[in-house]
Amino acid sequence: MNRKLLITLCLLLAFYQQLLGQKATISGYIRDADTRESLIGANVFDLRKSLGSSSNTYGFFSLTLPVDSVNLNISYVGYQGKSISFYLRKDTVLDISLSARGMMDEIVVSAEKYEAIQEVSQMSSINVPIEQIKSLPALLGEVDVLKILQLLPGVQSGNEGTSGLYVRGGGPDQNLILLDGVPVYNVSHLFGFFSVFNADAINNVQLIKGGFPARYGGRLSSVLDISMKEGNMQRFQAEGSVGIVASRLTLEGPIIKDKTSFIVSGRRTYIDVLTRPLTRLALQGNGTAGYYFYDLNAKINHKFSDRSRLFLSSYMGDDRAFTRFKDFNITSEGRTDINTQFGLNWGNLTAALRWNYVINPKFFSNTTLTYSRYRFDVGVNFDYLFTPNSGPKQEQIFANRYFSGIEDLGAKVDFEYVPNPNHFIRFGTNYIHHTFNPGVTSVRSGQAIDTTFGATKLGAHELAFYVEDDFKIGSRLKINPGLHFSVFQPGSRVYTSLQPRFSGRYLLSDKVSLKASYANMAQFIHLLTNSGIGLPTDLWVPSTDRIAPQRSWQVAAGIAYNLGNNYEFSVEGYYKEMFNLIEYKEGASFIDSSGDWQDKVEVGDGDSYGAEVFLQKKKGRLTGWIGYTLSWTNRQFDNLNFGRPFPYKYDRRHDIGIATVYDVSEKIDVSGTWVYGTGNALSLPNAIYPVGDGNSWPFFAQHYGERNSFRMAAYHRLDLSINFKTKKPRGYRTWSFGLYNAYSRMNPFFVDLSYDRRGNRRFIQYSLFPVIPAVSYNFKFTQ
Amino acid sequence: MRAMKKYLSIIMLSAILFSCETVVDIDVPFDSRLLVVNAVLDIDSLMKARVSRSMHVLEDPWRANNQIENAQVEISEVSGAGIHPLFHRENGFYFAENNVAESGKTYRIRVSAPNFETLEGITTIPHPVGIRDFSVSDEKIKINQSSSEYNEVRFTIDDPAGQDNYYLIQYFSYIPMYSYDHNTGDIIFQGISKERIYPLVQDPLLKQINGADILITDEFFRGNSFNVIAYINANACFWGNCRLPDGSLIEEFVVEVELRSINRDYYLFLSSLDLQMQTSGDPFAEPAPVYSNIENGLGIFAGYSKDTAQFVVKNSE
Repeated sequence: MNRKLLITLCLLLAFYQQLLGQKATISGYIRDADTRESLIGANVFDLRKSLGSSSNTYGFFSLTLPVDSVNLNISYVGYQGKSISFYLRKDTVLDISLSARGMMDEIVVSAEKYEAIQEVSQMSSINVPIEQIKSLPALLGEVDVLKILQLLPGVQSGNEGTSGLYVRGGGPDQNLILLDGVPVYNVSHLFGFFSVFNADAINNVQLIKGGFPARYGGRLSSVLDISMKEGNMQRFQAEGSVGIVASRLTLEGPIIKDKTSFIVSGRRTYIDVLTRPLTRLALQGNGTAGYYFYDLNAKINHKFSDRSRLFLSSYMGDDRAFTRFKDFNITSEGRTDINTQFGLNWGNLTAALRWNYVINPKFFSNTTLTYSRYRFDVGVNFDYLFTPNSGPKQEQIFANRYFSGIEDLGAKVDFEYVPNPNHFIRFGTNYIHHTFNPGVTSVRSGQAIDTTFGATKLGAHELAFYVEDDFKIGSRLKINPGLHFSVFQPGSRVYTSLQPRFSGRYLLSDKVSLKASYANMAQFIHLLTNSGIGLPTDLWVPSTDRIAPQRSWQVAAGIAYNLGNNYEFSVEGYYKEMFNLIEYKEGASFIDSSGDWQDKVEVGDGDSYGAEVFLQKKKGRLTGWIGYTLSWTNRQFDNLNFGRPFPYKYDRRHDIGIATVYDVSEKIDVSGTWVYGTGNALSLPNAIYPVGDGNSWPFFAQHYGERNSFRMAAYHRLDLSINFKTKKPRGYRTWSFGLYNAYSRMNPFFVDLSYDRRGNRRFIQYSLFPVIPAVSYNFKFTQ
Repeated sequence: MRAMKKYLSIIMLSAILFSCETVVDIDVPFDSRLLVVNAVLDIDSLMKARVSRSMHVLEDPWRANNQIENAQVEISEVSGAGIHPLFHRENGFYFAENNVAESGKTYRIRVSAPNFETLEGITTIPHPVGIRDFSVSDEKIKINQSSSEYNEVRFTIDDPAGQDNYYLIQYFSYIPMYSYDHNTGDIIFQGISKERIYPLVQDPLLKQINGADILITDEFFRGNSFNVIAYINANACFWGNCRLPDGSLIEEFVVEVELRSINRDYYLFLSSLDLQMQTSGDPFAEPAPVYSNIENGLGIFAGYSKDTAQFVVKNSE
């Protein structure tokens, strides 16, 4: 049956091609001339026919044109454009190399003829160049991709300093975060203050907030597609940084020149190393304590031929906190040695094996095997070793351990078919086998009791199919209709979802277009969290018989305006409804990990609507953007707030993000970011009253009014940095100095009821970060 | 688990310890004070209720005079069999003259006071459920990482079928007290001291609140027998005065278990109150409102019936 279907499909495609007349296809890859890295989203445009195409995630492009003279213009953000003219007689393969602009102006965007904002049918999507991300200020000097994305309209941060993304009213679990096509489940280090993405290992970052193409599925609110670098095919290269809290080192180069390359990138914090002597001193040599995290990215890229290429990439990262104490007692009966250990570990491991194959100049395929694992493990261990004055030693161990996690094994096949410049068809399938481990407690009590209890492992199958076509109708209209169909089977229950998608643009003029989109989404997995800061205790859990999949639909409409190639301006309005969201029941805390998670949650709905304004300057000495979001986000749960709707915790009426980089000279650039956001919503008690029947000491209970009916103070912060660059014979070095929270705004982290210094009951606001300076030294050597 | 929670909390909240604090003025609207009643009826005691009022959240409850002493309080049987007025004695406590609640009956409380809306609440007193096979082991064992040794205390509940049942368990010690007469040299018995015992529990079905009381719902053993196992330190010195005036140890004392049959309202009230106390000051916990079954007011109207059993324990130090 499947074979017949495939043959029919091929015949239809062949027939379709014949209908197109005398045409030929130009295809190939667009790469960095120096490193041979794929350039994603580079534009290929025939000036004679005014037809174009762009490169995909792997740098591949396909452009079918009439047999005639062609004058191709190839361009890419931050690279010098290239023109190629020839007479197109037959299908032609081009391997195009573009040279990056000089080191000093790497982040300057070449604006000539890249696919401008008004041209693309995709809306609510933003690409941020990685070099621009690296130039902007960062907390403690640690470059963080996710924190830069928080400066974009429609994207909000959670609490102070954290990396959580809240996109158009969605929760942090509703973001599909892909690293080389593999979902990453927990993107936080150090309780959310840093993300797991090492900027030195990243090639491209794309965020989609709405109008989701059919090829993406499984999450409601956003897609963050991050591609790792592939490794320099030409020469060895080393890049690194030494900062206050962490250092990074990246090595890349050819294994076989122009055939096989590798990249290895590592990062580690060293607070534990620096503070170890102090903790030992404080504990008088009887113990130690520490915390660190590390990341390791690695990738091998092998080119079998111009048509066939294999990638093997992996990410590994862990956070580890530990304390160890030694003590002893001596009695008349003997000596007891007591060893106490506490450990808290969490981390991700991902791997992807991808095979790109160009079936023919118009037909590109990508087959991927994926693996992703997130695990969290916390435990305490007490070891009592009693050495009596006479007789054998006796040992008793008391241990308590809690662990949870999720593990995915997946395979997907994606096809891209470009029959002519008016169509870009994508279709494919994706399968994931999930294994959920939603919280298991293991207790070892002396020598008598040894037990494990809690939720058991759950397996689930997730299968998806999609088809979409980026379809140009006439000179003004371009649409991207698509269908995404997915099946989820946790145990005997089967959930299905057919999700229509649509986005389109209509050119009002060369510089202005109207855009609209509709997306229906389903999400079969839930994140059990109430901290909102990406704590490792957050639990990924599947939809079950009792907890249905999350679903949503979103419409968006807007206008995109290209102001003379220097500036891009867009305004978008959106409305989104979400169903079957979960929240902890009242009083439930992330610290309480006992019991079945299904008993701790409430199920409800949500909506979000608002408008986003985005002005971006891409060219010149001053580059950057200003984003403003006006939004409303609500939740409604039958068993919360007496069934009445209430504002979402991160409902933020006004949100402003400004990011700028200014090249003072070839050797110096300064950058700054400023954010402003309406205060987070919170619930506070409005009354207290005595409880107790007189038989015991009276307590005073707190009485709450409407949920999330109060607001914290507004959040605003200015970050500044200055980079001094020096060019060296084989590379460059950069000294970066930064200030986080430059005017030391005491932003609210949380509010609690307590007593002031005069003993009066007051609300106390706690703030985390005052002004924090940072310095880092960056270098890059090339062989 | 508690030890692990402690460590986890320390790490999670360590950032906050190093954070800066600012006193903020948040305008908390407080439209009107509400009448509050706390009345938990015991089938062995006179009907009793405590009447007070709610306060603005920023009032200091220890300084504020919150009791209501001029309220009209009455408890009546919903079936209409009788109305029992309660009279103020002191500090906002009201007592019936000679009425006690009976198990299986449903009561309504109505409280009115000047300048307050009249509040009402309804509760049903469950029938008592017996304690079977109560015992305290002689053998001592270590529990978790505690350095103390414990005796196992167990009894069985035969849960009534066909209904939801909720229980509240308390343990007490009865320890004799003596004094020394310097004139005669006699040791004089002074009476029995009743003290609360704070047991350890390991069974996840037993929910311990206030570090002492144990709450159980029969959700997982409805209509069946269930063994309640807890651990106590069977050392009278731990709970009270354990020595005779001559310095020798008393030989034995009594451990008592009280099994209260409570209704769902009281179970939810006690659970939610405990949750609020546990999560107070936890910035990552969702707010935990305290359950109330009172209309036009706050507090709880509930009742319980009970069974008790005693076991004589050899004192050990």
